[in-house]
Amino acid sequence: MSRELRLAVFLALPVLGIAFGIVRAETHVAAAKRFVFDVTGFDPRDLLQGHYLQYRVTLTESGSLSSCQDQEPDCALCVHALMEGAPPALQRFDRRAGEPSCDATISTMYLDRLQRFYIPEARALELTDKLRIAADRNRAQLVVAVDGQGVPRAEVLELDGEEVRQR
Amino acid sequence: MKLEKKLEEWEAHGLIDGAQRARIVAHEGQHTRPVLLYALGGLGAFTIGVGIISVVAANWDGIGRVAKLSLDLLLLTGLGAGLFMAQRAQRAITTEVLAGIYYALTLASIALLGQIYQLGSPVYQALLFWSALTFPFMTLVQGRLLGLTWLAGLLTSEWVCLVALGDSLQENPLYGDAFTRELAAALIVPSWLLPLLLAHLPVFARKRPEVARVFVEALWGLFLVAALTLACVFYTNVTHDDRVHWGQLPFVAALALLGGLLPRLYPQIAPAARGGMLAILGIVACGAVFGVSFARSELPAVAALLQVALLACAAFVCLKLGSVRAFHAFTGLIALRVLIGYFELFGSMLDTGLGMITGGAFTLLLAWLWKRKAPVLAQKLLDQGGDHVA
Repeated sequence: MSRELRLAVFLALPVLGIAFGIVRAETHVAAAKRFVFDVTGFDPRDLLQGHYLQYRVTLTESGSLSSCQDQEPDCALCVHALMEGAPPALQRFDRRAGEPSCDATISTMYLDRLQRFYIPEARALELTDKLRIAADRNRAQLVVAVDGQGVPRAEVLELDGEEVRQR
Repeated sequence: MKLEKKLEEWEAHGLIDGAQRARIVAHEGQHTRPVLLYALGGLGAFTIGVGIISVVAANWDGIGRVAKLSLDLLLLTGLGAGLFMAQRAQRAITTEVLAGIYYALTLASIALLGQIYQLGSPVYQALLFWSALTFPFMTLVQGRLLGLTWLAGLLTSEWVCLVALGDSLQENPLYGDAFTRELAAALIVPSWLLPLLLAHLPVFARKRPEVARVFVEALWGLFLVAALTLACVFYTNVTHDDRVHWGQLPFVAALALLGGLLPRLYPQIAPAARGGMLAILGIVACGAVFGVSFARSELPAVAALLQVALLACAAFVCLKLGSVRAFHAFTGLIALRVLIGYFELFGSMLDTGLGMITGGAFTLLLAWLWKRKAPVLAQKLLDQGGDHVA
């Protein structure tokens, strides 16, 4: 490889890496199915940490098909969509014991990633209050986009009817 | 300016003649590196990088997703192209400045991506991605400041990855606390040794001498700080469950490997300096083995002695490397450590007037000893071996 070509490759790496990240994220957005989950306040003192809101996503499981722990790579939640706007039914299962028929599956090892939502710094205090009030009224929900690999991503936070999302 | 003054002095004392002086001035003039310019360039690049991050953060709400990402990609591409041209035209300062901005902007872009798409990925993944993407082009860096920034980025990424590994092992019922502690002990020296060996790669040292030098200096400084901190283990008691077993083997083996490699890594320095470095490695190995091998109560005196021994060795090494100023700094630290030891022992006496008088007198005595004896000791040690930096 000539010196100039090598230099060009070195310098193109960051651009290609970021472009790859964008394509990957857009593919996820396009291919994902969306489900709505209720969220509750985690602890008033922990709601705001820097530029993101922290909360607890209510994942009520209606029994399990096979037992497994959150951190195990083969552990997942089988998602069954119910009425529109209502949280789906969830059943825990171990992929090694067979894949059940579900509307989507969520790998449990990624659940931690749903517990925070990036927000504009300028609206931090306002949204913190809104989240607290909406959570108290049971009117705080999170739209989660789940792709075919079982990777979930927080997409929209709905607080008392107001949609909060990254533009 | 400093050199000219010195040369004038030497000529006045008959050490060199006018012709020699002119030759020295001409030689130095040809080999002068614009260190200040590099430093300012690096500082400017770093500031712009931080500024870009701040601007993105401050205008978060006002810019749409597509605009944000397009602008970001455009900026990255423009910087990459500029860097390519600067490197081709061998414009060292421009390369330095652009590389600094490119380095910071790549991290900012990864953060931007994570926030726009709510990726929620762990920090270690972002840092690892950043280090992997930027490593190849950062090998173009020539200046000390940007070299140091790069080293800080690499070490932070490495450290965050190790902490994440430790956290995941700790949470895993198969491994737990004890295994994680052993692994942490096992990896601590190798994780430091890796960048040091990188800095000593012949091709790196030859093509990027300033960066290689700053890597070596910073890593040895970091090692000394870590060793001084490690000595503090004697301030706590070690229970039966706290002991470290197999984790010590890689720890000591890595130190032994480094000890064995010293003559190859530093063939140009005085053997006495290498002896001092070997002593530091030995003290760290013995301190770690003795400190965590068996259950024991607190031993603050051992902590103090280890720290004084480490500082003494560091002072000796600096002197043998020809840095009298660093020698005085370390002997000053020794005096300070002795003073801290005195107050640890007799701190309660400070409640009384007599205690304050003796404490103050001891402080003055130490200051006097340091001022009077340190230069004498430095001269004596220099005369003893007669070996200086080659």
